[in-house]
Amino acid sequence: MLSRWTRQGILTLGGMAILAVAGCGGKGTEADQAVTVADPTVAASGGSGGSKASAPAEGSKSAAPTTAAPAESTTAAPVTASGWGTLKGRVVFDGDAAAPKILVAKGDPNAKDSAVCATNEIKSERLIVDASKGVKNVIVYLPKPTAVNPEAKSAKASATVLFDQKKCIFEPHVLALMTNTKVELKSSDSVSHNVNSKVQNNAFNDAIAPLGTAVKNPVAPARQPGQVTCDIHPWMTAYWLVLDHPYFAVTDDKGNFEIKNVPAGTQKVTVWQEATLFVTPAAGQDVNIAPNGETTQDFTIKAAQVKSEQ
Amino acid sequence: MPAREETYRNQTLLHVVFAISSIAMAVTIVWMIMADHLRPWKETQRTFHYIEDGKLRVEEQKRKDEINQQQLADVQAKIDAADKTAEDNTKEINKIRGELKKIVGRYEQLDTETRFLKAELDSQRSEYDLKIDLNQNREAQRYVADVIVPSEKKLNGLRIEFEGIKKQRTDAEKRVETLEGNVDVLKKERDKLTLDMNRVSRLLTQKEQQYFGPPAFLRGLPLIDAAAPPTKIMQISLPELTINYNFKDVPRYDRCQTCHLGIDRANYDKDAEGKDLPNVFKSHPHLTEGASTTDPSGKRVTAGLYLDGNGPHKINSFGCTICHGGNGSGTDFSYSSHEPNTLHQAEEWKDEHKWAEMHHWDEPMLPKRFMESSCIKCHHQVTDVPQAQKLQAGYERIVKYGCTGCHTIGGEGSFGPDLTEERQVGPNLRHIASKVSKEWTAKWIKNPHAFRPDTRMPRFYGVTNNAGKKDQPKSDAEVYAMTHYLFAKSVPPADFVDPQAKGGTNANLPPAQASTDAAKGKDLFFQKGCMACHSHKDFPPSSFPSSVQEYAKANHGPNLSEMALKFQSNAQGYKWLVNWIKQPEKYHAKTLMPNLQLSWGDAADIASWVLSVKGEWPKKVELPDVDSAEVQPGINELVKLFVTKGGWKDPASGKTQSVSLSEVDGFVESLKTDDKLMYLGEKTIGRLGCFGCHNIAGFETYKPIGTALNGWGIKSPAKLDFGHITEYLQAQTIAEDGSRDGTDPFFQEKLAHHTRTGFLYEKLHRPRSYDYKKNDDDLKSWDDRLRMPQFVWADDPKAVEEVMTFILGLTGEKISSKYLPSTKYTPAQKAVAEGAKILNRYNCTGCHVLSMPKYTVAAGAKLEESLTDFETNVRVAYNNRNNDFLKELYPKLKFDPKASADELIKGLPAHDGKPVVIEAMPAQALEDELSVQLWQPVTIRGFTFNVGDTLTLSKSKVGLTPADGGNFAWLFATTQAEKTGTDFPTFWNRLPPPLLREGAKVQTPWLTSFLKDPYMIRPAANLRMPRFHYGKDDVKTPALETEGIANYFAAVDGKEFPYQQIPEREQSYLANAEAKHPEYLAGGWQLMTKGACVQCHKIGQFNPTGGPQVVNGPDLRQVSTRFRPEYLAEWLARPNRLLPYTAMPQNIPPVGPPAPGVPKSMEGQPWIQVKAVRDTLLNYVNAVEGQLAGVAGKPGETKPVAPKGAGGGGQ
Repeated sequence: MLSRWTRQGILTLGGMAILAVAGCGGKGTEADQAVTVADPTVAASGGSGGSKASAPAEGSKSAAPTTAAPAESTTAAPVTASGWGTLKGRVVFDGDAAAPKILVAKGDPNAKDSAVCATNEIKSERLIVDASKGVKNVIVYLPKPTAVNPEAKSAKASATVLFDQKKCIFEPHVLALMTNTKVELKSSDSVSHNVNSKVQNNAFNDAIAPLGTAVKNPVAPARQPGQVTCDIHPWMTAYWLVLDHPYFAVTDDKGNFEIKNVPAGTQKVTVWQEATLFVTPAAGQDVNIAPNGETTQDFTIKAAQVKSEQ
Repeated sequence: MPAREETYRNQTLLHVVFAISSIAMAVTIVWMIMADHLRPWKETQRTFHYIEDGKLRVEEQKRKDEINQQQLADVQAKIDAADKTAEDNTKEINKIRGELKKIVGRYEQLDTETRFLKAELDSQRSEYDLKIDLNQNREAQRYVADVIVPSEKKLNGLRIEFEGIKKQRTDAEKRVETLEGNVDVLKKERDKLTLDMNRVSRLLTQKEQQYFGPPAFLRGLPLIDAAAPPTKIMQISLPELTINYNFKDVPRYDRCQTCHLGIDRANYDKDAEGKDLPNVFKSHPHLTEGASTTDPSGKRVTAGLYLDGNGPHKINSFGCTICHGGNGSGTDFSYSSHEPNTLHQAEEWKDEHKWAEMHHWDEPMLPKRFMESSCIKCHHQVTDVPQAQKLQAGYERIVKYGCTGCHTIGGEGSFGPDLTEERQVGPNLRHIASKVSKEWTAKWIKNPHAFRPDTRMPRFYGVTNNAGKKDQPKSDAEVYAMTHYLFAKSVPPADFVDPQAKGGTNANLPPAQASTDAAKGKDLFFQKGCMACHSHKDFPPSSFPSSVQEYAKANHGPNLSEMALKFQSNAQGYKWLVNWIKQPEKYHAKTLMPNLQLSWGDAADIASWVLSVKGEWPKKVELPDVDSAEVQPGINELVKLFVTKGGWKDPASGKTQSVSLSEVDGFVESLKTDDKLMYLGEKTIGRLGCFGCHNIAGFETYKPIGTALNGWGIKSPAKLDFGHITEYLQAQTIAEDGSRDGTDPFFQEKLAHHTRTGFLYEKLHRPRSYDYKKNDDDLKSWDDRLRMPQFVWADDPKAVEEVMTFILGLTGEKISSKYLPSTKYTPAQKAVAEGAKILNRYNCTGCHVLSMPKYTVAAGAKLEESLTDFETNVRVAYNNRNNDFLKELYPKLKFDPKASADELIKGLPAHDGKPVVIEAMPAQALEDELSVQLWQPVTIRGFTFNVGDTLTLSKSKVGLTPADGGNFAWLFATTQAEKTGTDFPTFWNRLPPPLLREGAKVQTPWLTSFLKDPYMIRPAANLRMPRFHYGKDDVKTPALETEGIANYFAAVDGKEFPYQQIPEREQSYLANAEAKHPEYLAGGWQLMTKGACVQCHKIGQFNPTGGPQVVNGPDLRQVSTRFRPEYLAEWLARPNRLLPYTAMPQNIPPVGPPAPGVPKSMEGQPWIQVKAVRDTLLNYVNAVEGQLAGVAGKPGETKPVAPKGAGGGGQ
């Protein structure tokens, strides 16, 4: 009998090990539940009342500077606290990133639909590192927040998201969103595209007519980011993460991210990058969020963690 | 002479003698009676009756407990109440009863009167008719007025009175019933509640009378039991399943049920207390499941595989011994020829039953380990009983290792499986000199296992009857002689081509070795699917993800690790390899290695890489030089032996000449070594039967050398030569587990008793050991010694037993055709069994998946533990139907766009505890959570998930049955996914497609011709469908095999074959469609060319854009002959509901704005659009012609709009 589990076997094992260790901590799970804010009104008042008490000292105290070793993060007893805080930080690359591959050369007549798609050079967005080593398009999220701030939730849930196909590139390349958010799949190109989503619980494969649109409404969250491709133009890829809470962010050009109104106390934070997959364990790394303040937590992607391109 | 008181004998003495003999006789009679009374089977039956009694009582109690006591009590209370009411009302009831009596009297009287009057009236009416006939009209009329009318009036009066009295009667009866409290209705209600219990109770009473009650006890007392005993022999007579009693076929009587009383009853595993029953009483496996049958209403229902009267092996028409063997007439443990499965069991039996091996019953019972043997007595196709796994494994092993090269199995006039269609398993040796070196060949022949530990070639030398030092010169002489013969007879393959000179760029010729890229060759070796059949030391299983390591051990073809060592030189090796990889059929016309349709460049790179891996002998083979003093005497001795026996044959002229005994020595000394080798080589190849597996020049007309195996399964052990096998075993050192030279104590015992199974085991395990103490040339000359070689699996008891299981089933018994499944099989069943053999032969499952992995939730398991996110799964699946539900396609699925998923989920019933089988491909995994994509619909808690829907499983809680087939595809996809971190199913688009639903998908004739000449369907695939070399030879048409495969797939999917109608191509169909939707085909054409299809597919004059690296779909020209209409429609509408991983998007949405190119008359009718496109594709030529005419008439109108600019349009 041979079981045929797919990739991430090692990651999974690692993740389970962490969980197991965390579970052995005894109080870990209890504490997680204890933090849960049962009464939304209390949470709301706490959130609004907390305002902007700046607490840089607390922030530096609570956070390990970079990817903390799992043992270190799990042995520390989880901190319970009430209130909301902001988690911010930067994802940086340790090592030299290879120059992005050119997917479509400018004016390449052999490219599919070259009249539209080869007007500009298309570069791989698999790993974008800027001069200061900041990594773009990294998803930082809380896999299981211990509480959800209704304000933050309604802010993210009411957003409409545009997923554009422009000059044969998906825009945005990495998209994190909440369930029941309307996603407009739009094509700004005069050629047919298809949006083939392999995102867990949100899989579909729709043809998008030239300049056409379609609307999607993800009903269920996914456990991890998933790929979205256009099979007509195979270089077109994007990644979506669908969560049922508002605690996620995608890093900007410099690798910065910020998540507001995070429940205070110890939270698991997961970092995911498409070429590396999980930077932290899939179940997340412990970060202590200071109530009513900013907590800074940076993450590092090591060059050795990056997967082979082919 | 006066009478005297004196007697001849002493009376007293006589009295004593008489008294003693009387007593002795009495004792003997009692002994006799008791011996009869205590016969073991009677004792067994008594024990069983006791157990049965207990079980029935428990059952009765259980049924009693099942009764809803509350309900029963209620009803009983009502009955009691009614009884009481009746008692209270006795007076009144009696009064009414009295009245009723009178009423009934009057009722009956009136009834009789009415009847009489009616009869009278009938006769009067016929009187009237008679008068009319006689033309007495006047009299007739008078008669009516005078007689008939008054009668009618009277009758009417009576009727009215009768109705009145009838009502009185019913009323009175009703009143009585009411007064009695409606007790009858209540009693019926009570009986209904206790129905099940009453049934058991009745059975118990019946059985008590018959078997275990006091009267039965009395009948069963000694002596009295001669009359009507409760114990009796149970017998099944089987006049058509005869036994051969030396030249006479006699009916079979199976008395097994005399003791095995619980065998055909379900649930006879535990006794009343829940303890295990003794084996003798246990139920047969698969009594209630494992097969299916058609019930009277025509529905398929499950039936028991064995003994079930509705199943395929009914107890009363099959009995027991036809499958199990043994002496069915015997009622004694030993005489029925029971056979223990292990030594331990034998010891137990000896203790319990005084068991002893029966030597003189030719069909001893089959020990459990060989039980599956008997299947092939009737199931001659073998592959039609896939459940018999050991038997299948044996069959596959026999085919794979080429046993049929020497041993005939089946064929003209035989009765049993027919393996005569199997081809030679060894390579063609007619061109051997162009392939390998002489030195390598000689060593290989001497010990092939030393070079390749898993080869199919068996060992002929170094085995027990020629491993001795004394035999070395002769062994080596033969090795050299055969090598010499093969090389001397070898001719170069006609169509092998030389590589080009360096720098040559002709794509139709092999490139120069210097310009090949070995590193690329290594990648290609993996990419092009070589590992579907071969393994290689540079791709060790440990280098692959752990879940697919098993798939890196392919051994359908040879392990290629040490390949480089075989050749004469690097350049020669390169030429041979590149030619072989590119066009293997030029070397061996019917090789199992397919033509992979590679380019010369790819073939050259692979060849170059294979050669670049340094080869070595894993084990050294010592072979002294041919001219050495260690070999020459052997050559001379053997040549002398053969010349003495059969004269000399001159290798050059082919003439034979006899040499007189006295001249032999001198004659042989005078011969040249080469001539001697040639002569000896021919003799040896003929003696060892090498031509059974290899194509060898000069042996075209030779017959196989082994014993034919037809009927071997009942060959009398008296006809088997056991030689000095016991002595042989005694001479071996005994291992810790009691085995000697790998023969375990069980088979040692079998050999000691000279049984068939013992002989067969040793024959496969140490084939030459029967020559022990006969190896001496004085006893058995060299050429008389046993020749059966030793296979590489000889030391693997599991493998040996697999082969034995098959051989033991070759009994050759002529079984009445009524019992043969093949006479009852439908064409589909036959096609599946036949096809399975062909698929196995060509290792189709090395690349293609036949069924996806099956994830199972065990019966009774908690559903929410296995399916961790069931409600989300339902919500997502249901929600997706908004996007792709078409009622025409999914009549069985529920969907109402207005109903919300939440309501649906709330309304779902609880899990019924039945096992759930989910056939799906793993999609994503995280921690213990695995999401899988369905490949077959599955219904859970009343909700049916469609193909393509996702379920979330807990890896640790669900069971997993691996996929059937697709080994290389899993290996490649999983490895790539792990390496790149991309989704795993993504890679399947470029891999060999799973063949689930293949029969529903393609037209059988298309598949047949595609297999013969596989063309490129999907330009994007990594590797091409190879071209196999079908047919054993070209005389037996290869078409049989290609057709067989095509029919197999259609049969598996329950589709029509070998031909199918395509009504969509008929004029009437098209005319009808055109009438409803003007320009039907033109509309379909427009949908395709203006829609998204042209983006990826070539349609008529429209070519998709992009260079060679762009992934495009198949040319749509081939669709009309390839697809079946129903499948094609679903495919066009919802591709991922058939092939979940496909890149083809859903082009025709059920809702939303119309897609580009939708003709007006089809707007808002997605199903019509699908059909129009489908029918256009099926009538492709028509459609293209229509377009050509249209283009000529109205230029510019059909120009595709989609891609603008240079690359866009057609050309």
